[in-house]
Amino acid sequence: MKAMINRLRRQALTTVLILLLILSPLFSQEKFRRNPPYPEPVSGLNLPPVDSEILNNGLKVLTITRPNSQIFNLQILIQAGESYSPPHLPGLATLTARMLQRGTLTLSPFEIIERLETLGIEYSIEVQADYTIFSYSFLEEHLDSALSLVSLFFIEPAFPAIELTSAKRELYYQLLNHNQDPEKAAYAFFTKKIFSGSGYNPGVLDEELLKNISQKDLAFFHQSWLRPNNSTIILNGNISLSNASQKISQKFRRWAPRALDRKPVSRLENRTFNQICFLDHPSSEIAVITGNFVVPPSDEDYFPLLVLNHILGGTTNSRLFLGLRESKGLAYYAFSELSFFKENGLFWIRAKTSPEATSQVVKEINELLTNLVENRINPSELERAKAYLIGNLPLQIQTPAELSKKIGLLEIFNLPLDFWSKYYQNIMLVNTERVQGVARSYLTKKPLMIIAGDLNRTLNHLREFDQIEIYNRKGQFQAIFQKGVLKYENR
Amino acid sequence: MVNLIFSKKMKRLINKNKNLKFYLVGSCLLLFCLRFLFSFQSEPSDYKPVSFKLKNGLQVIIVEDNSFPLVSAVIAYGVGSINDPPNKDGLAYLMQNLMFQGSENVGPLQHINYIQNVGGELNAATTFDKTFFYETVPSNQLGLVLWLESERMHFLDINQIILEKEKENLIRNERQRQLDEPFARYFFLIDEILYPDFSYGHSLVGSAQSVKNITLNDVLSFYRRYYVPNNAVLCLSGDLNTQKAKELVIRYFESIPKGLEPIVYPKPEFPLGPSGRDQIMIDPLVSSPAMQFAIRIENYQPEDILIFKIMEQILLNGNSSRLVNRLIRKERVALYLSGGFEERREFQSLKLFLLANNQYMIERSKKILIDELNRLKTEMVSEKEMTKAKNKFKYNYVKEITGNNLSRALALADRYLKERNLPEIGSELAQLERINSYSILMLARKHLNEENYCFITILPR
Repeated sequence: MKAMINRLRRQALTTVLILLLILSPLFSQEKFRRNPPYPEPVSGLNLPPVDSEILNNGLKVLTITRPNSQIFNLQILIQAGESYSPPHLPGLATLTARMLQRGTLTLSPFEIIERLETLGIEYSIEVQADYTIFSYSFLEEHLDSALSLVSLFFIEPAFPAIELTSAKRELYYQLLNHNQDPEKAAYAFFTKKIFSGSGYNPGVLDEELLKNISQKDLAFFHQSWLRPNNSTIILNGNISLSNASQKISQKFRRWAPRALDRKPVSRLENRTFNQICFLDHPSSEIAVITGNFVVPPSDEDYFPLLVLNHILGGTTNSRLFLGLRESKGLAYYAFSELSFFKENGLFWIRAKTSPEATSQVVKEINELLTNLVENRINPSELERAKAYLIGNLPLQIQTPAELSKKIGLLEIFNLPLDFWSKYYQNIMLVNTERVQGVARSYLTKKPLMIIAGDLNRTLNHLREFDQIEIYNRKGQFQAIFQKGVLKYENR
Repeated sequence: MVNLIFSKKMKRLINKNKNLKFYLVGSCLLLFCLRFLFSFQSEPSDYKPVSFKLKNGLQVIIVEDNSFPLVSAVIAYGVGSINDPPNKDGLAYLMQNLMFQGSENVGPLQHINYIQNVGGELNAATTFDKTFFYETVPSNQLGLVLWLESERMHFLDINQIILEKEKENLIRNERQRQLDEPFARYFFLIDEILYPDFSYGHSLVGSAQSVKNITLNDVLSFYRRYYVPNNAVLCLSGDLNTQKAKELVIRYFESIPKGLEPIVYPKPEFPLGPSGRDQIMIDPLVSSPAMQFAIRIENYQPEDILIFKIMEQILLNGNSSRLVNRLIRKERVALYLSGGFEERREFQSLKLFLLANNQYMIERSKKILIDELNRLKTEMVSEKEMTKAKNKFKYNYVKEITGNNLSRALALADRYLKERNLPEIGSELAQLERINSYSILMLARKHLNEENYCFITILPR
């Protein structure tokens, strides 16, 4: 009997062992599926060689040599943008830029379009406060023709009257459309307000003032700022610097330099704003924008600021979005941003919510900011933010146009050419102390707060604020809302 | 609840109607990427895809490109709105969203967090007959992407609560979209007119009722039937080593069991006779008059597809194209114009949408449109215009092949699902050279029959 039991035991054991043997691959498979795999070591970012030279007329030529590329990107970077438009003519820089391609002394607007499209050129014009970028991408075989055509835009623009009327109309409707979004309207108002009195014009456009811009204004702006000694040409493709310089100096030799009357821009300090502004806007949703000054990218605080921004509101996995939307359901979204101007930077938060939740959103934002300043950042959160920033950089420069722009921005912000190559290293040097240091430096003081939405639907929900300045849709001051009472004042 | 996380640029688009943005952005990107790529030639870029099939039928295509330390992964399933069961319109699109709701080892929406935490970007898109999921990540994270995609291919974890929540989101977002974009429903309406057949003509997002009709059983059956390795293609493009990538693919995907062969929907027989319709709709939600135009084209040869693309360049791509130039620039009857050729298996359609100031302008636009289509049938396109059209096409073609990993991977995956064999390399630009004015004239004469034109005029109340 005992022997039989032992035999049965042995058989059972053997069966279990055989089963384990058969099923073991399955178990091991399950095991490796349970967790994400460890990543391979990070590959370095090797950017193509960048070379530069300054031509006789002061035009800087910068080449990004990519021998295997079939596509060329040509960017003309002008160190002037909307902040250079006179205060009474906002939009002048934008219209001047757009009008360059709408007629030259030798080509009609239609001929220009026809030529651009015949060469298969993809183009764009971007006008920011401090700079303007003209970008043209085309096949290698059209390089010479593209350079010939594009040079005419800068050397002999004609600014035809009929085209100016049409360009103004297009910009007018674009601005109307743009400002229909309460967040965009609020951000424009925010930049205007935060720079007010500083002497710096952040270049906010006003659709009502476009009509005042004349052909003469455009010609003057072109003569003053769209000069070779205020520009950089970036040629990105299968070309060497010497070849590029030769071609560009030939095509752009008639572009005459001129003395530039550039006003210095001063650094603005992060400060306390005891100011909440309500911008009346016909929208059922509320946009909240709040922010303060930070430093430009050339400052040593730049990299810790990038990490701080990511932790607070860089993505939907950051504190603002998770806190305001996912945990509390108070906002449709909430993010933070960094914007850079000549010598200055802005750190700002944007959230979209309902009138009923507005006060709570403002309160939560303030709590999250206090929390960042006062409490130690979890090391894993810091590492996640750094991993994101390092991993995401190559995604931002995948196309020739994106890469040219990233290199071009180094010129604008006076950054060294190896800035992007050292990006990884600089992010890695950021630690919790540095992040908390910049949080204390830039998030402690009360920021400027803009709330945009329908005044009638929202005012009742804002009683708990001490004082709110009320502005109409055009940004004109209307009244003070204090402890639930609306007081009209003349200013 | 977050449905999907977008790239840094795309995050700006996130708002309360997230599903819609997700669908629109994804679809637009996808369509943009696909429209120029039907095959590849090695000469302009020297990209040489390597392909192999796993035992379970999963087709894998790998392309090495070491320009940047990035890799894009596209997994495309041969399933789309054509596979929606009757009265369950929207199931394919709902399924796409459910694929982010977690699996055995990945929590709900964690797929997004994993990708985002390494700085990557992701998205998805559903079309008439395909569903794409795609990620771009630092190249050292290839294993992560393959792990995540294999997880949801094999172990998707959906329950009644998740389903009801997603259905609710879909219905709410669609309702909001109809308010935000009142013209959107006419894009679906023109499809219903063009394809009078449920599988070909119904809306991708479905109606509130049809989405409500979808049960957990429907979802699970749909998933088991179509989200199987033998109905999918995985395309990897980027800074990778083909051999190492192959080993990783085998590790994560080969043990996933093969599924049943997916149902192949037969070519529909559309009623004979003119499908030409000219409807006027009065809509209190729209703010300006608009017009939809469409024509269905069938019985064409595969090589005609490229000629249609060149025809599209001539007609409406760019400010100097015939329709944009006449309708917007010269005669100024239209305020906005968009459109192009679209493929639905064995059918092509030319679709146009325009906005105008008033009904008179709509009528004028209609006449100009008919006039320009007639011109294609009666006049040879000039040599200069042909050169322009070909140059534009060629630029976009080369840009999409060499421009970035994602567009390349999307195109290869799309082509594989279309033909169920490895994309043929190298014929497209050579074929482009053979196209001439006569090709355009003959194709226009054969297929642009006025009696088949469909118009919908939409007027505000």
